[in-house]
Amino acid sequence: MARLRTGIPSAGIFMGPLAWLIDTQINYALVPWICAHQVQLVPVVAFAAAVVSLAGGLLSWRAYRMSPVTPAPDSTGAGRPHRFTALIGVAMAALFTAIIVLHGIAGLMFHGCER
Amino acid sequence: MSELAAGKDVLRDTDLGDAELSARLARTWGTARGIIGALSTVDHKIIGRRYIFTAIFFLFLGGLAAVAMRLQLARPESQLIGPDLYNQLFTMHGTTMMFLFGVPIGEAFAVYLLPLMIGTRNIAFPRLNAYSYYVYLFGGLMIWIAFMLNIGPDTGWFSYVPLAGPENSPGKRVDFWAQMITFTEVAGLAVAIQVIVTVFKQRAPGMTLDRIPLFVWAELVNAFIIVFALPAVVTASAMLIMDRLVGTHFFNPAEGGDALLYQHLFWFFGHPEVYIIFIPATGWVSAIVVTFSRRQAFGYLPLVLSLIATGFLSFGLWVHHMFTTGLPQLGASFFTASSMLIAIPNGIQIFCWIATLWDGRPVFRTPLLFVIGFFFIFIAGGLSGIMLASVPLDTQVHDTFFVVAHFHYVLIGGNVFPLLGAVYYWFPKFTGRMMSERLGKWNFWLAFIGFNIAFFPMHITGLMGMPRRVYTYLPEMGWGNLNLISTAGALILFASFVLFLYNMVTSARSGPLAGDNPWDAGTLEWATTSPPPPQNFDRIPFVTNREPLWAERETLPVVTGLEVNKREILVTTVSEARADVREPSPDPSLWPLLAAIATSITFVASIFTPWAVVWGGALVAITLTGWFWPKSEEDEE
Repeated sequence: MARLRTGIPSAGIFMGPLAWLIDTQINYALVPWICAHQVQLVPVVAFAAAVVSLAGGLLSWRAYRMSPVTPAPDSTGAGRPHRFTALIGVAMAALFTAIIVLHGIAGLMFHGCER
Repeated sequence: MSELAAGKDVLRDTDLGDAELSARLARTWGTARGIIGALSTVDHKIIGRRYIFTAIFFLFLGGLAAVAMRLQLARPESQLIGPDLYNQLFTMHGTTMMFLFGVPIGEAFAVYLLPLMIGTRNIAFPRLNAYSYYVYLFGGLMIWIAFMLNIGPDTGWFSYVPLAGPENSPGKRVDFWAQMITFTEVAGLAVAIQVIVTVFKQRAPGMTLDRIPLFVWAELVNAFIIVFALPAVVTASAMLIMDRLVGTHFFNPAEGGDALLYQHLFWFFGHPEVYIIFIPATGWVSAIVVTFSRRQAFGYLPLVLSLIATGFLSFGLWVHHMFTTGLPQLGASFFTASSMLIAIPNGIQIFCWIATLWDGRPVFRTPLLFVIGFFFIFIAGGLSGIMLASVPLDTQVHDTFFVVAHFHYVLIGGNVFPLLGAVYYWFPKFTGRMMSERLGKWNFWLAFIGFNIAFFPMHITGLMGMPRRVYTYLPEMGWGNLNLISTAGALILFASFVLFLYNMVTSARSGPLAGDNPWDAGTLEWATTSPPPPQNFDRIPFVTNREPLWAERETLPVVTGLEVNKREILVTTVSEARADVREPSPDPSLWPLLAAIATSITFVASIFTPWAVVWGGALVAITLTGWFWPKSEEDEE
């Protein structure tokens, strides 16, 4: 629980892409079932995956906010790898959430039987 | 660490003056003279040089195959090359460029440059490194010898079933292709593991994650893609060869198999493969842009983000190669979305590089010219790629020359132009001599003009309906003039490579001496001599900046305490690169070569009899036992 409070710098790097990969696989496998039953599950799966991805981004953001500001960065702004990793985690989560949302929108536009 | 030092007569780098230290380290880390020394070396620079040379050699072979095809297509109903040889030629061209050049060239640069750029003395698992090179070399030689014996593969670089299955391709041609995959993938995976461990555990103290050179980030991401992508194609090729040799029916629908499974497996590797070819090139581009802009990279964080995001996204696009296989539109739409959005990280990279140049003081030497050429060509290829991500357009132009034009813009633009720039850039470090700038500029303009004359018309021939992989066409089709132009361009492009080769050979023999840092670059490989000594650095650098040589212009800070008379490297922590432990590094050995020979015998023989896997396995086990046989007590320490 402490890690949830203090954050995990790399959480967004792993959770965003992982949520997207699972979303892709589940939705791709669901297509024949969706066609047969006409139940639009894709947006539901995408929503769940987007929540996971955003949670990863949130953990990274918390880690960024909690990470020490020392040592002072060098002239190129480097030397604080935890903050660096956390910022990449936030951005990764945002990017992969956007892709997952697009998958969800595709589920609203197709009924699954189009060839 | 203290145990190692305590109570022993250990000679450390703090005990000697500069000249003696350098000489002793060179003896400790050097490669013995003679043929045995050459074959047993584990020096990453020697192996890296061989890797680069071999990959460029295969690039030329693949290029010759392309020239032969272009000559055949220059006019309608040409009888220069028959259909059977043409099938072998386009298969060998694609196979060579993708597996024997595209993947290895990125890793080859990593093998040579990575330890230098992160400030260590050798790559991790140096004997595995030697083994991987020999396996790669033997695999490449095997398939080209097969081609010369008229048993070269003829089913395209992806060898789709059912064409490549036992019913439609009897004989051994496809088996050579499938086994070549095994060779190159074993080699590729080995290097990928070495790269990951080297980057994570052998960085110089102070080189925190946010100080790693962008080239190194690119190679790291590339290595991860290789680790996850290559097993899919090894699985596909192994299943294919089992279908062909032992009568399994993985891909035979008549017996309950699934032909489409092969495509899924192949493209789960095949699309990341595009990025395996492209991502190392982004590392070369970043290094060149920064050095010749005379400023640090604009947007270091977004550039790293782009690399990592591209690495992940590359695994979610493969179905866009299968849009015409009758998959449901809803399923295809997921891959369209991901294919479109991968343009975001790639676009960010391009903007960051342009911003770096814009805000810097660019010096337009030959390496930078090739990078500028890369911008134009790769962006054009990216735009046609976005077009192809659209299912209706992809369906229309599938398997036409439009697709050929697209992927050559992406692959030659995205890999070969940066490669040429990279060779011009690092040649002084490899050889100690500069390449000719005058010939370099000729090289660039010939390559740029020749490439566009060759490949731009293919967009139009494709839109006019000319399919790929046809050995000839009728005059009434109206494709003759455009094909003639493409052939003229291909010849100009090839001439540029001949000039490149000439420049390399003459410069290596009589080019002006380069000195340690001829470009006034900022990364660590330029802190040592050109070419570097066997030990790379007399004392391990301490990194305080992303561009350490720009930040510490007078004297680079160093860490001390490593042993002099034994091969020893410094292991550091993953994130902050704090000095952690000293670790011995393996000595030269012939066992990797012997293991590679045993592996090759097994792979080649298994094309003819499945029992080779059994007795070949024993042969490989013997060599591996010799390789890993417990060392003396002293060595074990």
